[in-house]
Formats: sequence, structure tokens, C-alpha cells
Amino acid sequence: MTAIQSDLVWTIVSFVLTLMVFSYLFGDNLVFRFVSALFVGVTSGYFLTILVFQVLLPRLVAPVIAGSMLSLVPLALCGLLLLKLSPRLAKFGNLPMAYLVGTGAAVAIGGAVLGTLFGQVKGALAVFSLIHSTGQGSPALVYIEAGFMLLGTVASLIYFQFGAKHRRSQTPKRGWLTVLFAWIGQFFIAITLGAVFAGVLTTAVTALIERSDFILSAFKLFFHLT
Amino acid sequence: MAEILCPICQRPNDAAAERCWYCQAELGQDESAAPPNNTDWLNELREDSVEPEASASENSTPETDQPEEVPDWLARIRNLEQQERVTNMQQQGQPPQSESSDIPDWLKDIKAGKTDEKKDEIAAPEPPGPPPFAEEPAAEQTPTPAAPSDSDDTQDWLNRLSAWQNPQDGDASQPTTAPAADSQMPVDQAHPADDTISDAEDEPTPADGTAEGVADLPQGWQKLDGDAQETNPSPAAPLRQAPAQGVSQEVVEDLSDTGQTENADTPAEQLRAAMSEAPTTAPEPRPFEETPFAPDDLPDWLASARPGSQPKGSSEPVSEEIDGQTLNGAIPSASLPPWLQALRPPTERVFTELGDNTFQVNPEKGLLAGIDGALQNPGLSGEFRKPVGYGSSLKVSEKQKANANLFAGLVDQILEDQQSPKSKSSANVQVFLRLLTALALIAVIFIGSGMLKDFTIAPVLYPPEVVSMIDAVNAIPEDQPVLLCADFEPAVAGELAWNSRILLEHLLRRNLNLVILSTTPAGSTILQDYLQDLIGRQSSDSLDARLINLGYLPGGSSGLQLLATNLHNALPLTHEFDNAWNSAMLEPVQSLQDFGAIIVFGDKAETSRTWIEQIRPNLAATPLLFVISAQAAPLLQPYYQSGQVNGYLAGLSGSMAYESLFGETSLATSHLASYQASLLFIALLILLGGLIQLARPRNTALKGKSSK
Repeated sequence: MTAIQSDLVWTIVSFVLTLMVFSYLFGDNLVFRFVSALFVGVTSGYFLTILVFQVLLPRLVAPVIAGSMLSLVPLALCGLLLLKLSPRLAKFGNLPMAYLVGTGAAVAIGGAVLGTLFGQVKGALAVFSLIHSTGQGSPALVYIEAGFMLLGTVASLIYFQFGAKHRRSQTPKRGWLTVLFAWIGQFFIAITLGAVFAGVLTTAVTALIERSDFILSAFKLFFHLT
Repeated sequence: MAEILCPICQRPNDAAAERCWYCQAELGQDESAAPPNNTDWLNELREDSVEPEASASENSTPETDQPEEVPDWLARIRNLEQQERVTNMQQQGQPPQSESSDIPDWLKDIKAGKTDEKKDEIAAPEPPGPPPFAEEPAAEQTPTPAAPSDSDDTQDWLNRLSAWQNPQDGDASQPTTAPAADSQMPVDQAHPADDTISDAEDEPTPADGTAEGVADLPQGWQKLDGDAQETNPSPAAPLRQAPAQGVSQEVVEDLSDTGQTENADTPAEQLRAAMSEAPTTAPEPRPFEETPFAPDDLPDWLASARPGSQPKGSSEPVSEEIDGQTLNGAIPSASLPPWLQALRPPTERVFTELGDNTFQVNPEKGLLAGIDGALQNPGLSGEFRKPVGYGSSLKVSEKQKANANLFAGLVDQILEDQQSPKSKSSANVQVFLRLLTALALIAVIFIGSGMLKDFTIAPVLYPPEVVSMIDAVNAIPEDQPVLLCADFEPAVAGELAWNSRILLEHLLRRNLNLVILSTTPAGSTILQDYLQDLIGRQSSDSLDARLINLGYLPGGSSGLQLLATNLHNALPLTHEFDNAWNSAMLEPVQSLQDFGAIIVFGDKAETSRTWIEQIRPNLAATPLLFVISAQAAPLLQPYYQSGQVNGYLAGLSGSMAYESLFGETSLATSHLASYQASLLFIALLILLGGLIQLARPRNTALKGKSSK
């Protein structure tokens, strides 16, 4: 089979599958369920193949075959992790799980602190630097913009602060300053969420345009062929 | 079937029974099946009442002076006993006692109510004395024949009875006729729950034989018997009447009085004479031997019982001296069997409106006068009320009701939506609207790509992140490879393909070496397909010489950490299982800093942030660039502004800006019209929907109100 013929076949397959996905406009139906199951199955199979050939064999089996004794440790841990499938022997899989959870938490926390927290604090302060804002207007405008950004940052963080002082015979309430900043912060959060929603909508529209263009191209291809 | 007579109420019980069915008194083992002429009961009573003989004699006088009401059951019992005694005497051939003018009236009354069937059971002439404690008249009591050994005891009893009766001869004779007229007392009204009373009514009329025997009785006896025939066929009535005449109380006292032996002969002789002369017209088949006529054997409460005057009930044709209401109040509680008593609902007034002296022994009045520890009738006549009904409904508070109604409303709403025909029609309408909207949007896309190209608005201002990115790509050294990292799902492959196309074209035009890796299993394959598609369109050069696919990097953030710290160990092999770092392209690369640029293709802000957190610290001057989906752009902006990201392309708009800067038109620019038209259409739909929602009342509020 030539490349053109294979492309034609896969184009037809893609066209049919695209129409089957579009059938969801009529509601949940058997065709949509079939194509969803098909995608899940193909993806799972592909993933399994990738995992076996690009993870297990080269990283686990090959070193053991090569004689690396250190590779026995991850092999043993993988075996213990598989015992999680058995209710009676699940407790033996706690060791590799603990190692995975521990390392994952350490990496995540370290990255969040060093990458996000420190970086964002530095960035929030760097806005006030006139050096970095060269060419962006007057210093006052720079400070106003920086202050506005700082206010939004702080207010958004305070919005999620729900600690309140306990008082006798009174319902716990936040301080008036906290309430004020929270009220301001909710506007920034609302704008951010709106922007995220707009981005999601844009993504969906882009995908629709891409699929529509594909359908149109497929029609042109089929008509040209016929 | 053999029966046992209860010593208290004198009712027949089953031979095997241990307790009386009616009054729950213990039936002694010595009480065998009572033959008709059994007088053992009398002997037992005499044995039991040895002690209270003295006290009974003391109380006889005051009791005699105070005629009190006698309950109906007591009167019936006395009447029956008298009848039985007479019957037995006749059967034994004993001449009736000569009737003298001194025959007490109570004897006459008893005679009126006796029956013929009990003649055989009467062993010895005994003074008629209805047992005060017996509920059932003597009609049911089978007459027991008097044993020869009991004759002396009987005479003693009779003597004591006459001694007790003497002070009341004048009083007893007066109301003789009155009760006869009023003897038609419906038993049911007096004792509706007492089966024995109804049984008393069902007693057969005296036989003729007994009538003849009664005819031989003294005049007093005849008179009593005649009254019984005239007024009340029930033998219980005359006997019941007798206590009302103030006679039965005296009889009881006499029964319990063991000291009155002085006049024993006199009343006995009188009784014999009366019984021998008085004809029996309607003898009662009641044996008197069963009744406890021995005064010395009677308990105190029985000996001290006095018939008292009772107020007449409106519907009870009782004698004037009988207080029907009092009896109604007293008798049911005393005479009802326990099982029946338990069925009665409790009344508050019974326990709340009792007098102070209710539970004190009052020796002066009451049927149980003189009895220690006996509870007196608190006089609840007319004070009975319907018991307080607690109801069987579930007690629910208002708050619980409100919550229950709210829950019911929610459930009803759900059910209506599922079952109502409107839900089906509304579902069809929703499908139609959804389909219409989709077709309209697709039509706008098609129309926009064809007819609206002249109406597009090209972006004039370029985002700074796009400018920074193109600058960074232009600054990549040609001898350094560029690392392309795929970290997206296949679902957004179409959008990223359009977004990244111009960038990949830029990289290929610069003839840069490209290294691909992916943190998702399918990312590297998709990215390679992008490049292959571009290569195929651009030139006929193969991509193998300029592209190395390192494959899949597992571990998520840990894998990135390993990639940042130890590049060779993180990805030792290529996608084709070749040694990646021995190639000419990657030989000089020892760490991430040796790459010319690192471009991450992502669809989520979280994964992009992970790359920044793990990779950025290990990149010195190597630019970190992103090609992301439009949905992640707002969350990646702070990292660009903080300097952690050197530049990024977000969505089709970013790609269009890059194309404008690059000077090439690609997919983004060619579909600008469709893109802008579709966005405008969606914006109009959102605005229209919002206006309609503001104008129309909220359905949820209506449903909530209707449910309430």
C-alpha cells in the first residue's frame, strides 16, 4: 500500500470517527459511546506498549540482565508494589508506596517553595524596580501598576484565609481588615477565573475550527477522488 | 366436671385451678370438687376466723346500729345461700322451723329468692346470710349437702345470727315490700362486666319440688319466696335487696361474731320453724352450705360489712337504700377480675381527685368498714372521665416538619423531571437547541473562512511574551540542539498543532537540531508527527538527521527532577532503543544547560508550573519557552512576568502574532476569519442568554416556593 493510499484510509477513518464524536449533539448515544471506548482502548494499548518498551525493559530488566545488583532494589520494590493487588498481602506494598509518596512530596514541595513561592515573591517585588521597568512609562505609573499588582496578589491570598478569632458568646468572625482585603481579592479572583474560562472557550473553538477544517478538507479530497 | 368453689366469691372454678378465675383468690388444696352438699368451706372459714371472733363481736354492735349499703353481689350471694340452705333442709326431711313472729325480715327476703334445686345441698338449717364478699349470687353456687358433723357448727352460726339479728327486727321488717317492688334490677347495669351477675340471671327458676319445700317454710320464708317470684326471677335480686334493708350487715357481723352464743338456740329454732312452715314457691338452687355463714370464720372485712344506703341511679331500679353510683364506682374496681381490670384505661381523676382520707381506713362507713388496710371507695361516682388519649400519631416538631417538607419537595421535583411528560418534551427541545447552536457555529466557521476574510481584524499589537519568544528562538545557537518537550494530552493535539506550527517552521528554517522527549506516553509521537508533516511539506529532506526522539520520561515531577540533575540517566536510550548520548548531536550535551533552548508544549498550567519549578533552577542562561493552550495562558503569565519563563505562545492568537512577527502566514492567519467570527458568535450567544436569564424569573425560585 502506498503512502497516498494509507493516508486516504486513515483520512477516511479519521473522518468517520470525527462524525461519530459529533453525534453527541444528539445526546448520549451508542455511536458516541463506541468511539469513546475505542479511543480509550487504543490509548491504553499504546500506553502499555510505551511503558513496557520504554520504561520496564530498558530501565528495569536490562540493567538486571546486565548484572547490575543495584537494579534489584527497584525490581524488588516493584514486586512489593504489585502485592497491593492482594488484600491480604497489601501491607507489603506499603514500603514502595511510602517511598513514592515521600519522594513525590519532597520534589513537589521543594519545587513549589523554590520555584513558585520564591520566584513569585521576587517577581512581585521586582515590579517596583525602576530598572526592570525601563521604557514602560513614568515611575509613578510603574509604582501604581506594581502596587495594583501587589494589592491584587495580597488580596487574593487573603481571600482564602478563613481563620477567625474565637470570642465567647459570639460567632467567630474575621477581622475587619481581613474582610476588606478578602472583598477586594474576590474581584481579582473573579477576573482570573473569567480569563481562564475565556481561554478554555478559545481552546474549544480552536479545536472545533480545526476539526471543521479537517472535515471540509476530507470532503474536498473525497470529491476530488470521485 | 368437678368444680371448686371459691371461698371468697363462691363461684365455681375448675378443679385444677389454683386461683379463682373471678377474684383470683387462692383455691386451697383441700378444696376438692365441691359436691352439692359440701360444707367444708364453712369449716375452713371457721378455722380462719378464730382470731377475729373477738373483734367481730366487738364490732357487731356498732355495725348493727349502722345499716349500710350492701353491694348487689353480696345480696345475691346471701340470697342464694339462703335458698340453698332451705333446699337442703327440705331434702333432708328436716321440718322447717316454726315460723314465729320473730322471724327476721332478712330471712323472709332470703326465702323469697331461694330455689328448689338446692334443697338437697342444704345439710342443716342455717340462717340465711348472704356472703358479703361474694359477687355472684348464690344461684351459681352448687349447694353442698351439710355434713352431719356440721350441724353443731351450723346451729352456732344460727344462734349468733339471731343474736345479731335481734336488734334489727324492727328495721328489717319495714323495707320488705320496697325491695320487692324494686327488685327488678337489671343486673347488667349494676355489673356490666361481671359475668357472674349475668350468670345469676340465667339461673333456672326453682323447680316445683323446691317450691313445695318452700311452702313448708315458715311464714317469713314464704313471704320471701313470694317476693322473689313476683318481682325478680333471679334469685339474686331478693338477696341483693336484703342487705339494703340493713339486714345483711348484721348477718355478716353475726357470722363473724363468735361470742354470740347466748341466743343460739332461739334463732335456730325460729329458723327451723320458719323453714318448716313456709312453703317454697320458688326455691333457689343455691346451696347455703357454701356460703361462709359462720360469723367466727369470716374475715374482718366481711364481718364488718354493712349494707348502706346507696343513691339511686337514674337507670337502675334498685332500692332507695342502695347507692347505685357508689356501687358502680366501687364494685367494678373490686369485683372485676384482674385481667379485666387491666383493660380499663387509667383515669387521671381517679388518682387526682381522691379525698384526703381516701386511703385511710374508715371503720365507720364503707363496705369494707372495719377492715384494716383496706382501701376505701373514694366516692368516684360521676367522676369518671374518658382517659387521656396519647394518640398513635407521630410527634414531630415544626422544624422537623419543615425539613421533611423540603426534602419531599426536592424528591418530588426530581421525580417530576424524570416522569412528567414535560421533561421529555423539554429534553427534545434542549437537543434541538443544542443541535441548532452547533450547526450555526459550524456554519459561521465555514462562512467565516470563505466569505468573512475581508472583515477580519488583524492584531496590531504583539504580546510581549510572543516577542520575547521569537527573540529567544532567533538567538539560539545553531550548534546547540533544541529540546522539545511534549507534555500534553492527545485531546489538545489539534490546537497545539496549529499553535506550534509557525514555531516549528521557524526552527526548521534555522536548521536547528531537535531533540524530542515527552512526559506523556503519546506526546513524543505526536510531536514527531508534527515535525514530519512540516518536513514533508517544506522539503524533501528527511528528518532523521536532525531529530532525535528520546521517548517517554516517566515519573512526573520526579522524572523532571532527575532530568534536571542527571540528564543521561533520565533518558539513556532513544525511542528506538539506541544509545542517545553517543550520537554526534547529543555528544556535547551533558546537561540541560547545553541545549540552545527548551521549548515545552503543554496544555495545562499545572504541568507547565512543574516544568518551571523543576527545570528553571538548573537552567542558567538557557531560555525556557512554552507553547501552551489558551486555557493555561492566564496562569502562566505571572511566571513570564517574574522572569522564570522567557516567552510563550498561547492559543491561536499568540500563533497569529508570531506569524505576523515572523512574516509568514500559516494556519492561524488563514483561519483568522473563522476564529474571530466564531468568537463573536459565541460572545453574542452568551450575551443573549444572559439577557434572557435576567428578564425571565428564575425557575429554581419558583419551584422552591411551590414545594413549600
